[in-house]
Amino acid sequence: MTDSFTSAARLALALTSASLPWLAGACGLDPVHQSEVDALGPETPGVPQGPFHRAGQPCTVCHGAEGPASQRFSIAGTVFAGVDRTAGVQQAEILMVDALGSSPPPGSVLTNCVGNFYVAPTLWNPAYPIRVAVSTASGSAMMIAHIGRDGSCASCHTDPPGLASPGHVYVATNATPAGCPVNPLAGDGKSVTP
Amino acid sequence: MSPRGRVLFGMAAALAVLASSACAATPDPTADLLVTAPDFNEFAGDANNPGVHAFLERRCGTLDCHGQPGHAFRLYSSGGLRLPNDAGLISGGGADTPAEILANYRSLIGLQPEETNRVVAHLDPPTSLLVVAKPLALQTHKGGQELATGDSGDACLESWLVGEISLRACQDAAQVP
Repeated sequence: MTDSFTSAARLALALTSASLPWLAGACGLDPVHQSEVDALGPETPGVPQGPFHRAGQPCTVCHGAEGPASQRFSIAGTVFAGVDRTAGVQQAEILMVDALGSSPPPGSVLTNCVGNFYVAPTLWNPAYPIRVAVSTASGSAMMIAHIGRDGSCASCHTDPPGLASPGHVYVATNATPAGCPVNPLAGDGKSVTP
Repeated sequence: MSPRGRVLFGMAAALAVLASSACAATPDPTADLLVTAPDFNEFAGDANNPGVHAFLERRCGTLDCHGQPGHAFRLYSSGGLRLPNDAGLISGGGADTPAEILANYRSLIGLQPEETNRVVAHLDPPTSLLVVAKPLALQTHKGGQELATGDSGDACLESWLVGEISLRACQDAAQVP
């Protein structure tokens, strides 16, 4: 009686142990990551998922190893047109060099009409830390510090500027983005912080 | 145990607690604890020598690493997290303040105060401290291996901890990357 009870208990324990990882995987359980994704909020109406969505948000929260986005980015962010503006800068080049002296191919990392840029790991998978500069037709700016380990500009560059953030990334310009499939000025002047 | 035995056992236990609390000495509010800490001035640096702080700020203090308030080893800096201030200084503006440098020093030596004392007293090697072992990847470090044994950053940190600071190493370390 005792032996059969022990055997049954062992079997139940083994089955439970074996099913836990499967259950966790099936439910996509990582409450910390899920809360980060949820904190980004819903998509902006009129802006479909794609290269023009969620300007100013920390891209690699979703486009990192944990998903849920299918396309993965090693580095991604948004360049805005001014300290108080949330219109994007178009055709700004993001210049980067990593700890091993490696850089993306020249001219390969450019912002689109909402200011978004992204780098796929297949193009460049940097060894941290990284030094970064933004170059536009009207001028360039270099980041004071390096990037230690976070591939999203907006993880640190949140609005408003304060003790823990210098504010969003910007290069001052009055140029208006052209040929944009979404309204590049729709959110101008609004906070980019989710 | 019989009911009588349980009662006796309970009484004995209560007496033991009472006796131990009665014998506890009252803490002396005027007593000082002698702490042997690494030199603050060498940590802070000056106009001619960057000290340990400049290296730590540059290499470790970015907003995505130790420039976060949640870190046990938390670093304030002009380009990263700022200490609350009345001057209106925000991240990315102004210079490091003396209060920030002092807060960083306290953060570092406060990580493992007893162990730090032992290293300063030459009783243990610097690698026994997390602040050395982690960037050398001798212990798990979320930011990966940031220093190599004997490089300028390691030499700056370890030499300072044992009271023989290498100013040259600290100067070199503050320039990288």
